[in-house]
Amino acid sequence: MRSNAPYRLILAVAGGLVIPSGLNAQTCDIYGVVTDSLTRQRIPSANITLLGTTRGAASNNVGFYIIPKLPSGNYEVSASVMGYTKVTKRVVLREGRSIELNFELQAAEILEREVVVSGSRRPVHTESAVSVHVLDQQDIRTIPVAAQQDLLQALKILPGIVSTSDVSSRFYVRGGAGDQNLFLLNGTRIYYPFHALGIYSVFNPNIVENVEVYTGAFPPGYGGRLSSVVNITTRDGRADRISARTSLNFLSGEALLEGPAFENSSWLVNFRKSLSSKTFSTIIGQHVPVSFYDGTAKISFQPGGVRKFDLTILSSGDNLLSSSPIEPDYHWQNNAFSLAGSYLPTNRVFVQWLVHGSSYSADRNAKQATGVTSQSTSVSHFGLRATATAYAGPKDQYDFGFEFGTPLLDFKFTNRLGIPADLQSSFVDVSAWARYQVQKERTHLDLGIQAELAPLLAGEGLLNELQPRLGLSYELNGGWIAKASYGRFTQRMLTVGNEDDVISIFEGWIEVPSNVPLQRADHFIVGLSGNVAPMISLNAETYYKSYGSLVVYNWNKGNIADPDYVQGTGDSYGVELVARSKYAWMDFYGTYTLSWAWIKNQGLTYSPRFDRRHHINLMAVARPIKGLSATLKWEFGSGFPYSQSIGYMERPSLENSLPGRFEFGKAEYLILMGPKNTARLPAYHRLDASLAYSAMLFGLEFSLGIDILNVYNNENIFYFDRSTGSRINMLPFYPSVTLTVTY
Amino acid sequence: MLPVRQACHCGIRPVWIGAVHFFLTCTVRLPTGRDATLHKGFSTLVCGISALLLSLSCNQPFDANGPVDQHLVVFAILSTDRSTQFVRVTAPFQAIAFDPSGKYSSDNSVTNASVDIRTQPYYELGHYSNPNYAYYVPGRLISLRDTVLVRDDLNGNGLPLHVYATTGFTPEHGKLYGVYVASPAHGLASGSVRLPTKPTISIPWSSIDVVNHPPSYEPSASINFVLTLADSLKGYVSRLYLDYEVVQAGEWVSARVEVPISSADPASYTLASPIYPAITQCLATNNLRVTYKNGYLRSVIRQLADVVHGSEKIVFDRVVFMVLQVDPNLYSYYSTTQLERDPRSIRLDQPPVTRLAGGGYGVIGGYTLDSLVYPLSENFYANRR
Repeated sequence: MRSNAPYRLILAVAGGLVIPSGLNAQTCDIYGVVTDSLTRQRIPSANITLLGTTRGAASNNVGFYIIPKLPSGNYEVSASVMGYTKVTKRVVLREGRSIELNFELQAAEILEREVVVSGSRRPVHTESAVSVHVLDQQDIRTIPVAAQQDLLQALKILPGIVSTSDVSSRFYVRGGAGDQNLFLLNGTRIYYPFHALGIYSVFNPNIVENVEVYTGAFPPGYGGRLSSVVNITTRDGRADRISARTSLNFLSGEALLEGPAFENSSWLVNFRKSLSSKTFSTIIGQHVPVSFYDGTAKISFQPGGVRKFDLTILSSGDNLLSSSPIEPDYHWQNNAFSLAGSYLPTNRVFVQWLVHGSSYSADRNAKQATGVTSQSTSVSHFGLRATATAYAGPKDQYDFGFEFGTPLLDFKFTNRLGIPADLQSSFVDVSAWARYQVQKERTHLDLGIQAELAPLLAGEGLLNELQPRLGLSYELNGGWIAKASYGRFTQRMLTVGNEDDVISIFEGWIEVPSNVPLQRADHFIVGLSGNVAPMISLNAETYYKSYGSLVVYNWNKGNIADPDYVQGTGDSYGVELVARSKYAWMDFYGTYTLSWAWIKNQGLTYSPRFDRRHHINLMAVARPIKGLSATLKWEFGSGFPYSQSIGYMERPSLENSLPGRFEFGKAEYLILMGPKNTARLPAYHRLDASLAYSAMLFGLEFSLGIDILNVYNNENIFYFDRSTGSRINMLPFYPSVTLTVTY
Repeated sequence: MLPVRQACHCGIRPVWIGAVHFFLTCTVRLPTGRDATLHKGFSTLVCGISALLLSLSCNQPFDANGPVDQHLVVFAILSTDRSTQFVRVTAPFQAIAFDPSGKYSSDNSVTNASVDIRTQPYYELGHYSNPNYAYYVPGRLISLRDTVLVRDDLNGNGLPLHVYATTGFTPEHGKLYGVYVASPAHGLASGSVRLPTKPTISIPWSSIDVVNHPPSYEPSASINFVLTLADSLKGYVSRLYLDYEVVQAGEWVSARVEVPISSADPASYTLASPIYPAITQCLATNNLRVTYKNGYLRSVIRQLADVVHGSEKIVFDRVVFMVLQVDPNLYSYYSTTQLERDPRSIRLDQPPVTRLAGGGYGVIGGYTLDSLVYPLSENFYANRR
């Protein structure tokens, strides 16, 4: 399977690689994959250690590991990961002959019923990297939510992530707008991952293996967005037997089926459907006729060795159909697929490839509604991605890759004059990257560069499109790690909509208008992590994000010939603290963020509406007895900016009244606003609690969960209707019950 | 002004803090010895922090309204087509129960202001039959009088309008005017406007023949008007009118109707959903050609002669092509009135309001109105005497 010509050819094409010298030297490697002994699922982030030495490795996202350049001899190799029992094997390395050593780990709770699995697997790279957070399925399930766990809702507990609403999964990262976040499902871009009103995302936690969230200075290989990357990896289906799981709550019902397909393969199908929009109505305080579904299917095939192939399909749809003729109807849909493969074509070079496609379409039928017009938008994006990791030495590795995509954007709308318009654009999205990571004693260097080739080939600025991604960490005395990172990012797509809308149900994607440069941001981050006490770990980061170019509204637009958007700038900066502690049966997690964000638009500097000065999340999780877990989560956020009303004026509307006595003609009352976003809404705070108990009955696992949101029923303002003077609050005291049955 | 205050929950919060403490201390199997002390201390610390933050965040007042802005609101549009000029002066006000058009609301007209228009001095050529002799024309100060007028638009609170007016004053093309408003309570607001220079308007012979004999031409035949607008102009609008006389109750009555430039169904030239020109931004050149279609002229004539006044005597007198040029201030104001806003959100975009020197709101602008009049033949085909 290894060292054959076709693989080398693909590898060369994949990255234009210059394989570091010495890769093929006559030294020995230990490599292999780590899997679950029962389900055959690959286990990422497992620690592989050569006992009695300082050498080791961690398994990657598809469970592959390699410990390169070992001298010949006898070794004891152990594999361990949280939640599984440690396995140790003996191997004999002969000169020039590498060994494939695969590990099959047994889940601890199956082996020993007394052991309570707790905590999460954390990839090694999160310790030395900045602004990256990893959550697994257990983390997501821990966080209390309305009706059902949700991946994007769970991310809101991370520092630097701000949400402006209880009923929206949309979030804002370090002062960046909502369309600056890149959502990847097994490498496929999902352009609108939100269900109706955003209580759920389209990513069902049941299928999630883990999610990596980069809130700044993300590494090479990720591009096209200015603020964050949410990289979701789905789990494989069980390969040992057929398993079923069904769950029911006030809002939706779902079923998950998984099992073996043919030899060395597994499948997984999950489907969720809304049951009643009545719960939505209760949550948001007004009747909203909502229905949605989402489904995910995955087939995994492991033909042998380290090779693996995955086919993933996602489909979701939402309808928000009102019986009232003056209320618009909304409909949107996501479809996506990815076909991924990974293998080791040659010594110490691990290749992953991906063919992906994604389509998103949405439309708004205005019917007889006033103030909105009918619109539709669609994005289709098909692409190819390949990465190669070259393990050059004991503690250094190279990553190369490229991605080729062809986004096709279409935005149809009718403007306020009743004139239909159709904005279509398509472009070739080509990027290539290279990365070198090396550990020299206490210093870890991560040097990379991302080249956005399409704009570069079109003759646009060299400096913008060759984007350095640099990271440095240094291990101080006492186990503390100091780290710093820098990255430059550009974005050539954005959503159109009012940045001040309370809820954006409809957003059309367009290419950055030709009169405005590509959006650009530079991230500067420094951090420090370590243990402040034996039980308490702390990670502190401070960041500065400079938006050299932003697409902002043209407030001076008054004519169809004026551009809708002009170039603006901005910056954001802040400090983030994350503390974790584990004591007895309890886990504690706390974050604090102090941040500022500014946008500069045509001479005016203001805070965007998602600028939150102080943000605290505190969470305590207790697992006092097997099967029982309880969580308390408290969130505090200082108020969001808004503009005060400073009176009304009567303004002649000038509609077709020239020439004429316009002074006495039709006039409208206009609210005068104070300086933009200089006042602040009241602070937000909310206590949530959840209790879950699971037990085996008649061979089935029953799990009953009770979630209570806003336990002390705090009135958190959602928005204020200036036309009526009424204040709309966010979620009140809201209990929900979920019953899950698993076979 | 209605301050909206957050309901207070201070009374119940200690109960919940106690619940947190209970959760942390009682639902977990308590360790013994040193661990127990640590555990107790930890849970007390967490509760203490929670209690502190809760109490800090309790009872935050919220008022969507800030102090009412006291700047003047001035609307003054000087124009060359009338000898009476108006300046409307008000101040911002706060609405009762968020309804600015409610009967208890006031538009806060400012009645004790001093409002002046100043013309700039200038030199004019051509005095005493000597075309090269320039003479000095001194500036004038025109004080406007406080006047009460009835609104044309009866929507809203229906209060009479306090405006400042002057008669016998017609602004001229190309001249600079200053408008100064001073109020003891609201301070000063001022602005200046230079009216656009006179445009040139012409109609080619080919178009004249179409106007004279509409039935002889296809509906798609063009009626062109050639314009040279003022330099540095921001916006303009042109309109085509048809003037006619009709006998009503035994009397000849003059009337005017505008000819659309297009319609929702441009191929049919019907008057269903007609489109009339709107103020348009001047782009690269001030030399323009405006084209109307014969089909719309014919439709208008047919509508008047056959439908509206089907049994009455009617005479079509002339076509009038009118060009209205707006100065940059008025164009900016017009632009701001055309923008959309979200009336529901508290986090609105900055509303489009033009500002004046001194911090006031409104507009001090002007426009010129010029026409090309083409009389129709007495034997015009649709006349019915």
